[in-house]
Amino acid sequence: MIGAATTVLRVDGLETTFPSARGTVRAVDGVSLELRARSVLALLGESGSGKTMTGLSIMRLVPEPGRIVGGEVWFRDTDLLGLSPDSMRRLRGSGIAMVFQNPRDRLDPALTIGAQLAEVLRLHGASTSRQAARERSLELLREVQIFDPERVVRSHPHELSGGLLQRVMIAMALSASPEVLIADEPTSSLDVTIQSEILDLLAALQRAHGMSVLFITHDIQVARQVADQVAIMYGGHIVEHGAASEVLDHPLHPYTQALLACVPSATDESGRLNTISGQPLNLRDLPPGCRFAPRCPYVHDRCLPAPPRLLLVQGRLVRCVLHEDQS
Amino acid sequence: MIAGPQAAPAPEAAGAGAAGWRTAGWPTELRRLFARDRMAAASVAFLGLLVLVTLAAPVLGLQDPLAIAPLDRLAPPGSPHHLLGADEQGRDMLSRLVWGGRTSLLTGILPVAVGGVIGGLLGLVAGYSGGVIRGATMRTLDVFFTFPAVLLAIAIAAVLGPGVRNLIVALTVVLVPAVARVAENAAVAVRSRDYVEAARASGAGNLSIIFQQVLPNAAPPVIAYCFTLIGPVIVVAAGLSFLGLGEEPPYPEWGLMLNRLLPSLFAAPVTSALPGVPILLTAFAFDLLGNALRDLLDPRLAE
Amino acid sequence: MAVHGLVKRFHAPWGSRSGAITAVDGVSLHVARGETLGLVGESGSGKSTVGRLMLRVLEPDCGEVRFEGRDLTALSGRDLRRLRPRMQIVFQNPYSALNPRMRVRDIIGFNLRAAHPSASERRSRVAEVLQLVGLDADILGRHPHQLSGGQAQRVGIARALVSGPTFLVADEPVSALDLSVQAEILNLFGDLQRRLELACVFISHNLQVVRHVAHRVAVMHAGRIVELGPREAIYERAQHPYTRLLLSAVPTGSARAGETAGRPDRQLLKEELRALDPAAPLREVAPGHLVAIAAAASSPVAPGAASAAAPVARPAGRAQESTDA
Repeated sequence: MIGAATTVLRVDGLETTFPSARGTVRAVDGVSLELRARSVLALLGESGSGKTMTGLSIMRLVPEPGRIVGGEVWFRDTDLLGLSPDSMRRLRGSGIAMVFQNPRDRLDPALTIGAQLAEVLRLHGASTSRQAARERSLELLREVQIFDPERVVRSHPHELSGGLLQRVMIAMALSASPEVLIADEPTSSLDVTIQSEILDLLAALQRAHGMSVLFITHDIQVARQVADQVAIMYGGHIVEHGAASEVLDHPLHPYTQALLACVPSATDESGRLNTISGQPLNLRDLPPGCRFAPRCPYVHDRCLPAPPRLLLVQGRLVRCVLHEDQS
Repeated sequence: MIAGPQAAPAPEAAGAGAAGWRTAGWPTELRRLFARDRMAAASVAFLGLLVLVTLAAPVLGLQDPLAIAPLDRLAPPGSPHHLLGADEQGRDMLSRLVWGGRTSLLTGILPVAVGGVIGGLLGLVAGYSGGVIRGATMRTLDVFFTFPAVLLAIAIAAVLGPGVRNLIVALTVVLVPAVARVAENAAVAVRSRDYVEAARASGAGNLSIIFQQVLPNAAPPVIAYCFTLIGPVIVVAAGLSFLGLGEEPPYPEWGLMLNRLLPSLFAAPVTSALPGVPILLTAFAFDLLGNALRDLLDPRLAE
Repeated sequence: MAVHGLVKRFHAPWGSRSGAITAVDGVSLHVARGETLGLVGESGSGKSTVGRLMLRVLEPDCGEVRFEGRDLTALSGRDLRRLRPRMQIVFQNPYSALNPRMRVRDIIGFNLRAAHPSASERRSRVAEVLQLVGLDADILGRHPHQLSGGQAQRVGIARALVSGPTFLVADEPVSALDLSVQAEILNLFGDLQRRLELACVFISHNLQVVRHVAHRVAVMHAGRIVELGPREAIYERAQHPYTRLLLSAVPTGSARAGETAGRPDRQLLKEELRALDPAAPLREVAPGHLVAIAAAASSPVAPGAASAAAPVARPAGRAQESTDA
């Protein structure tokens, strides 16, 4: 019943920064996480939390002028950060694959879906003949629950809906049977009903292929629906990391608590919504102590001068001095 | 400048956007640009010097650029009295280059400035208006595009006759459609933005929307484009003068000087080629400057 | 604001394979002062188009738009422009809605042009509206890219309010914002609505968000209104399969991992939807509650079966991982 507790992907103290005229932006500031085999870890955070950059850093796809400046990323006994660019390129897609937010931006508008699928298949050395490539493409599309793959293969991206395109992207990502899938807000640009379907599809595929998924999202309800484990990010740090049900129903970190309280939940109609006081972080000008301190209702002097370490509390990790006694 | 806690950058801009947003005023930005891009700084320095020197021509104590001295014909650079040598009529090269520079710069910059403003406005209004106005304007300008620019300039200058003023007019006419097209593209891109829709929804008239909302956002690519035009225009202007369609002898102009010295190319190769050097350097400098400005102006607006 | 029988078609660009799209196909709505009408639908439903037709930023092909008793479609350009300060719009993306080259004071001040105020009048009005949206005066000198998402959206709202409108169209005003900021802005909308007695059309694809601000809700699908009614009626007694489909796609805050409580079967709902006559007219099934459904098909829905209160089941078979960090 419980999946193997082996770790498939381990990130250790990852640091990614962006130089800018007004100071260095520490987008990812010492992030450590573990993705276990056959499990889904949701990386949850608001904008500026560093969640997307963490995913891109793992894939070594950080856009210029950003750079990974510290830490290790272990996959299959290899530190990805130490690989040559060629080796990393071979690994992308076959070991770790990534699905992004807006599928329309990721596909070539001038080529048919079939042509683009065939290209991906060729890239991973899969198919040799055009016939074989076509067969495999149709098979992949059926696997993502596209019921008229022949039509889709002949179509160009602009003729297909966002939901369909995202399925195509997922098919492409899975074409080389990766062990790890990083999904960066794959449903955020889709309609709510389609979103549900895509999430169900991802869950089914994850089970069928025995993949591990790192699911990056800002949507708490999506995280709830898909994740076994949840890691909450704020200001480039992980502030809480544990089992999804526990973190989302009994949050320990003040930020997690505040964030969960903001949800316009379906049952509460009257009165005002909860908000988080203060302003969002300025990543170029971080406070010296805990990043959440300026907005935290429980702040006190132990929260400065340095950010708290991650503590093991009640079976999960929390970065908050409030829980030091129980750790 | 902003005091106190700085607001966070645009959503998820910890990555791509953060490095691009510039919050300082443009003088500071310019200074930073020149610190980074040494070629651009050198270009500015060179052009600044050039403009200064040519403007100061009357007071620099140069020899008379028109004074013929048959005994000094084709004197090489370094000769007594002639630092850079003398041309085929014995006139001092240095003096003629400086005086000629005034004309050459004028025929390079003025058409771009005037053509840029006219073309820019035409393109802006056409692009924003859309529909019939845009179609009519752009199709009319397209007629000019059917001719290669240089040939068109030659044709117009030939019709108007020689002289610097006619040269400037010819070049301006040729530039208007090119700038208009860039301006139209920029205006079309801007007009579909939400803030323009918001401006329309405020009840403001089209004119104030065009000038207050669209223009400031459409202008940077147009300005950058114009800067990159100056170099080629100087070369074309020099070429037209070379062909006898611009400045007339005995007045100095870099292209014209090249023309007059051509027969002496083998007799005095260095002196004959000398006027080509400022043409090249100036064109190059403006081009570098234009590229640097384009980088400066555009990412600021990156959305 | 009242619209009646609105139709809007968009013609495909020349050379494209598809023909004209009917984005809005016979929509009738009304909004009273002090009331927020939630307009809900997915992409392609026509909701944004309806908002723009109401402001006559787009011209309707058919139908009538009446604002403060006047027929907007009959007005000349100049007369329309004179009315514009009284009907304003707030956009989805706070950054693209603000001119990046202008400072906040000019962005807001631009909307006062029509009234030709003096400089001091303009200053005081801008200060007034800043206070209304909860911003400090030091924001006036900034450019949009120096603002946070929440601040930028507040500026957008301030700009819409500065001319003193009686009618506001808010087109997905919180969809591009972070959760915590979304909560702030929704609270702000509630406050402003109460203080200013605005008639507001709140367009969104997010039912949970709309529930917080709207008095009445209209659900749109494929250019038509399929259900319209007071808030409780929509959320607790939805009748149209499409409404129920939308509601079913919303997980609630209290769902627990591993629970397999009865999430309404979406496949069934989709089949019901397909079987419906798309041209069915709106029928009143309860006071103020209209549904676009054929006479025989409507019936009171058992509470709990199709409401948003149903917890969402996580896909069956997912193993519950033990946490031993």
